[in-house]
Amino acid sequence: MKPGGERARAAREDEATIAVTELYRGHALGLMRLALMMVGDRPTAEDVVQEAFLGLYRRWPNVQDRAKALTYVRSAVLNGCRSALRRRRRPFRGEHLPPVWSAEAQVMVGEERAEVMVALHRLPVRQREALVLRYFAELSERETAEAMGISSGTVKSTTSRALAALGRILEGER
Amino acid sequence: MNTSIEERLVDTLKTVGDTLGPEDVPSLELGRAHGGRSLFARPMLIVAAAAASVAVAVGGVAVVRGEGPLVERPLARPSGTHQVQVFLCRKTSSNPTCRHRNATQQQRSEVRRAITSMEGVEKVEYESLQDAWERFNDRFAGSAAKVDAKVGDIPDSFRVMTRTASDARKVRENALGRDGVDQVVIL
Repeated sequence: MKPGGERARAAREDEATIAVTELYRGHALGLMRLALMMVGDRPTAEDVVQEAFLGLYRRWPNVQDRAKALTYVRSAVLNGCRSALRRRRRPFRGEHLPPVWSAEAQVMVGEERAEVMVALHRLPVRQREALVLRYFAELSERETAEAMGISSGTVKSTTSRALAALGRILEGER
Repeated sequence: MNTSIEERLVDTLKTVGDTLGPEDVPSLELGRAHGGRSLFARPMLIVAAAAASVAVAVGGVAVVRGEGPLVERPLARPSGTHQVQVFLCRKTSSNPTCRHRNATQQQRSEVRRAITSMEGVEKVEYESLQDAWERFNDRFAGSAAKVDAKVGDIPDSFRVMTRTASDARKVRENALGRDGVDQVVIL
């Protein structure tokens, strides 16, 4: 026989497992795609999303508002991507310099699109986040602001700066 | 001006997103506690394993660095034709249907036969690993985007010309899921 505390904990675990698994089923693919745009390779995108959902699972007892769970996990994915990109920037352990887009993927999506991806990866991370959230995830300004942890006004200005910069890069101007 | 940039961006993000499908989503390993084991014992292990695999993945990724402006234009597309590129499996492919094996000669012939016999297909060209690598290098030669790729990193493929956009989509549907086919991209 399980002691009472143990049973209550098991019940909480069940609830967390069901809720997090449901959310994962509905959103993992979209978030993996989002992470792919940010980090540029599939294994990292996969890991970042898994870690984000594990984080949500661990914090489940503290998640008061279930509706906020998606916002939480989306932010966690963005954070995970930033960390992965930061790790790459440090040139220790003989790692390659920042992988922006794998050679294979460049060929996979066609050359014109590869150019856009290369250009996107030359933008500052925040600008890239804003573009990917607005134009790929199709989030509203308010949702983008929540995911990035900034104000809606900043989302607006970041997005328009990012678009202008992207245009300049694609036109070959400095 | 921004409108065309926005359109290009949306199209690119959609296409790149589509390279990941539902079959690429691994199952979520929450490591449920059994037999009184702590709730957090297994997830922590999984996190450590995931972190380790990130390091490996980062070490193994081909590098494309952009420092200067990209000035090349894409290859001209013959007017009135639509192109589909059918990429064949490589050992390194993450597509589970490839089973980490290179496409065999027989699979390649099968794919070619299936595509060639389709209505609306005007031409099917095979691009070998060597060709793919050379084209890739030519494409980025002198470019600010520095590329580190070996022969075999870029998969071999069939470049298929079709009469209409709808024919191109049909080729994509037909080719996807065949043995030896990794990805199919409409160019």
